[in-house]
Amino acid sequence: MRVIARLDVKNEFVIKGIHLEGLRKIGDPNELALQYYLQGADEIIFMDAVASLYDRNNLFSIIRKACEDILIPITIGGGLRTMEDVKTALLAGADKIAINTAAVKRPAFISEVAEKYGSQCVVASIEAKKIGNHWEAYIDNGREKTGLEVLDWAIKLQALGAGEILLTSVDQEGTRQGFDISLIKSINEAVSIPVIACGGAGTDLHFKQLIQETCPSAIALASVLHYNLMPISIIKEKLLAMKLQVRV
Amino acid sequence: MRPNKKTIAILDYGLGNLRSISNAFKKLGVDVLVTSNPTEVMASNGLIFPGVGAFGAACNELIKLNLFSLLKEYINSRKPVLGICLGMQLLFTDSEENGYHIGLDVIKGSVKKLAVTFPPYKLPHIGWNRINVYSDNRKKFDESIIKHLEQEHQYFIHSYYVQCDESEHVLATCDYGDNSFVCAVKKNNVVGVQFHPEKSGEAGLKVLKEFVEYIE
Repeated sequence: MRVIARLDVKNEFVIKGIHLEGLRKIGDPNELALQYYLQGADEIIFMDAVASLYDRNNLFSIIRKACEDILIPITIGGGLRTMEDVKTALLAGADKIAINTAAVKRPAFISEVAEKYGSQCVVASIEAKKIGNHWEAYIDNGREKTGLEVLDWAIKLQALGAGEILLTSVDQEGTRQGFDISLIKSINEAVSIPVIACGGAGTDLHFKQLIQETCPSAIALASVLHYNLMPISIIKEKLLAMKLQVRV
Repeated sequence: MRPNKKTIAILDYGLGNLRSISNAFKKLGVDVLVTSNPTEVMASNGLIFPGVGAFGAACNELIKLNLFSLLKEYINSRKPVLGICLGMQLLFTDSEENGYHIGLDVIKGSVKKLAVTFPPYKLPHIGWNRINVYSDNRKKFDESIIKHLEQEHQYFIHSYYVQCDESEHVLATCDYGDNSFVCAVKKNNVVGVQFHPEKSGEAGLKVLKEFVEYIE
């Protein structure tokens, strides 16, 4: 299992909210990314928290600097909507592109990026909110509903050529109250591409509860790291003790 | 770039994250030339052959840029070459990725899709896995640029692997699901690795350092 540090960025600051809202400043993206790399993170995800809302992307210069020091895979997401955006992101040094809003608006975009750069480059990002007994996909950082059923959408994204799914539970995100395990389990079992579970991790008990039910390929962490709840080395020790294969 | 120094070229054929490879060399204090210019490629003293994406598309790009036969010529000149990920796969005879495609045929063998059982195993195979020395060729491994990687974790991202026809070229294997696949090969001046040393932390960086030292 990969342990991924997720940094949501707004106006050159890493920010953190609850349910993707009420954003609070955490620190400098490059400093934090380097810190998590040195702690043993397996990957870094940079998400522009406001890009798709305002139709811009300011992450490129951050990525350019980050990949000079950080020798692990870097994913960039938030507001990427054209092949030109993708090219700029890859030239800046990103290895993978996370796409949510642009895929909902035009699903063929996923296929176009996958055909040009390979599926391994395409991380389909899903923001899931629980509605009754199912989940609906949201865009623009959990602000706008799409009417898409998350399970169907995940299967569609795989068919379109996505290489991975970053699955964020908007309900659990930032709460440190644990993962939305039934959400992760249903998607992880439905698609044959790797799933990155995101949202809600607070204690090692949460990892244990998740792994007892389903084993996603990766977990993306934000609050746990930003608020120093548990260093990555300890998280990996806990995962190792649960017989998971992790890089140490 | 200092003229008296040996030059390392990174082959640019429009695919993949070349910045991360050149950044890794930058971290080592080594200048590299990212190029698709045949004259510059041929003048270099060592070549990094990267690549991500699909085998067929990569071949087409190489042919379009007149680099396909040039690569063969370069390899025949006995200068050091390091193929990374798809760059390693392209060294082989052929591939079954989305149809049938002919590779550079520098090493005999075929590129095949990983056969994994889902659940629980997923494709693409994305993750950090240990490198296992291919024990028949232990000496060759110990003398190679990946000699320090025994039992180290390296970053993999791929759905296809190389089935090497001549086991004498195999340096290391990796386990994923029910598969033990070849993840590093060496034939004369050419080394190929399925993992991404440029994305595999300090242990991966050392592979590139060894490559530089091998040239100098």
